[in-house]
Amino acid sequence: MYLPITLLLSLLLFFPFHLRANEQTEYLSTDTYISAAFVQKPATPGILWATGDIRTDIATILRRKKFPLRYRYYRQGNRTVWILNEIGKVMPITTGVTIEDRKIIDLTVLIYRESHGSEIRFPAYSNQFNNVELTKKRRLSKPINGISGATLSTNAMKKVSRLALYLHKIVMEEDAQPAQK
Amino acid sequence: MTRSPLMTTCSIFAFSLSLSICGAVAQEMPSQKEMWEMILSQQAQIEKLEQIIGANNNSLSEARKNMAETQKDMAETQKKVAKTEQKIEATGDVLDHIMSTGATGSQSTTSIGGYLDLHYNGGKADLIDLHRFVIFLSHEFNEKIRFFSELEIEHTIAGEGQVGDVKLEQAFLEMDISENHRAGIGLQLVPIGILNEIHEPPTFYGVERNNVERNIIPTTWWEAGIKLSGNLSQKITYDLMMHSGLDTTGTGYKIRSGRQKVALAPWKNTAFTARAKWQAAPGIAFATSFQYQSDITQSSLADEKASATLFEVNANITRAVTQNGHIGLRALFAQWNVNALSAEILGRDKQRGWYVEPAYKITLDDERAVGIFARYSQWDNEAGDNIDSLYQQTAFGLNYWPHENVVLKVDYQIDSFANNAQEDNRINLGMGLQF
Repeated sequence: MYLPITLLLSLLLFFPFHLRANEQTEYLSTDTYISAAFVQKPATPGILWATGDIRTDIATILRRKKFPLRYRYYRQGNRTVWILNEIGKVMPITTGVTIEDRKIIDLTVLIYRESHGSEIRFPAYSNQFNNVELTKKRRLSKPINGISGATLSTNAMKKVSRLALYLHKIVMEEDAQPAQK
Repeated sequence: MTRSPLMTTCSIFAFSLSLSICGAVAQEMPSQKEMWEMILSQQAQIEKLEQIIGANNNSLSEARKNMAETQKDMAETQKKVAKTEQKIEATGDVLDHIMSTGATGSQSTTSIGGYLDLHYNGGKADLIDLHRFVIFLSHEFNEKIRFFSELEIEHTIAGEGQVGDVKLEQAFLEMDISENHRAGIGLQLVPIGILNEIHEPPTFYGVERNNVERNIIPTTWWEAGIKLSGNLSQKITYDLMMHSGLDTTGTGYKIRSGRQKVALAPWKNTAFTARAKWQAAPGIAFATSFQYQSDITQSSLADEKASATLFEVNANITRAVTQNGHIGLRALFAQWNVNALSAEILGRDKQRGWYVEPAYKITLDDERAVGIFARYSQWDNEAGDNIDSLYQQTAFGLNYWPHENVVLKVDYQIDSFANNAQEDNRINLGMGLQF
């Protein structure tokens, strides 16, 4: 048993934990992500209540009945930022989604807690969501390929992107209503 | 000087007229009494007017006072509204918390999941079996420290004289060392193959898990130890694990039978497993694993030691080819080399197998999907000698997902074994779910 323990300790001492996969892959804090999405971070978030028909639609997108009563978002003009949590296999994945003119311009995993499938944090996966929009049937406008061994996490990302696109649409429509009157 | 008669006449007329006017004026002037009454009347009017003005001044000051009170009330109301909003926010936060977590317990960071696997095997087997019922229990202590566990009941009933089993397949603590590296300590699944770590029924084709991973790797395989995992680049991940090993004593070097399941398991010889995985593109992954154990008999005697290595390589591909269609391909090769004379005699110094499994999946709507697959596999746990002991199997079938986490399965297997008596060409039916 002594040799393995010695080997392990040596490994722990000399393993290059300081190496980062890529500077771009560094975890962003929620505040940093929101600030990066705007020239100047809005002072206060908007709040969208998930009630009535909106609640029914969200339940369809998430395929479950339990979800928040309110969604906070940050907005400047036609750009909104949403910080959403969705369960992968057993743990919630915290994701930032930036949408402009009803298209995703960025999707970034901010906190990944699952033991498998951490590759979904990287642009090689998340860039697939760029320019994706919602179809009339509230599906994503193009297919998204998953990560091997992380099917549930990639399904969670699809739900998050659909939800953010839907909520953005609601915010824009609510904003447009007084002008129509 | 003399006056004209006309002038004299005019003067007399003017004098008479002035006298008559003065007389009339004297007659219309009020008397002193009347004048006094008039003064008193006017004084009364002035006093009345002064009273009205005074009253108006009082009303004005009262109005000002009322206005001040109203403003005070408004300020208090605004404070109350602000407090009410705060209360609504707090209530909303609590409700959001409950709605998001499902209020499963006092700790929202504790998660529950699981899966179930029900099989019917036709042919000679002709049996039905609730093969597995599994509960996941996880807890997040903070953003960097998590606990994962998996408790499994096999074949419904466990105990003396029963065929079933209760097993703890995972129970480990995972800690983030840095942004891209983490350590796992405890009972963990060994990082080898495709199915060993991810084996929930909706994630694979076929009613039963494939025989190559079952008999060669051997899935499901868990050991106690320390594992380092992480990302070396955006596309390359690694796992390094130092763990307890197999003990094939009394099993004739049968790898699957050598799993100790970390139950009072001798740990005289440590095993090391390393895996590298290349995520070439989303949905395209290649991985290879290597394991070394200095003695898979856990013997303390040098002349009885049997060192062993396992090499495994796999491809796991799922790519969208249309809006609703995905092609799939899984392929795996694994081989054990056991360095012991007694293993050579049995032909078990080499144990290997491989399979290839193409598939096509069509998404029907948000929830439903259907997929077809075919699989060819061969494995041999006695490949070290010249005696034919090869197992070959061809299987094809269908998975139907009425929900992304629920699957109904049917497949048909065609066996071609060295020992014909073991062949069992049959249909298999299955139901599986995960949550």
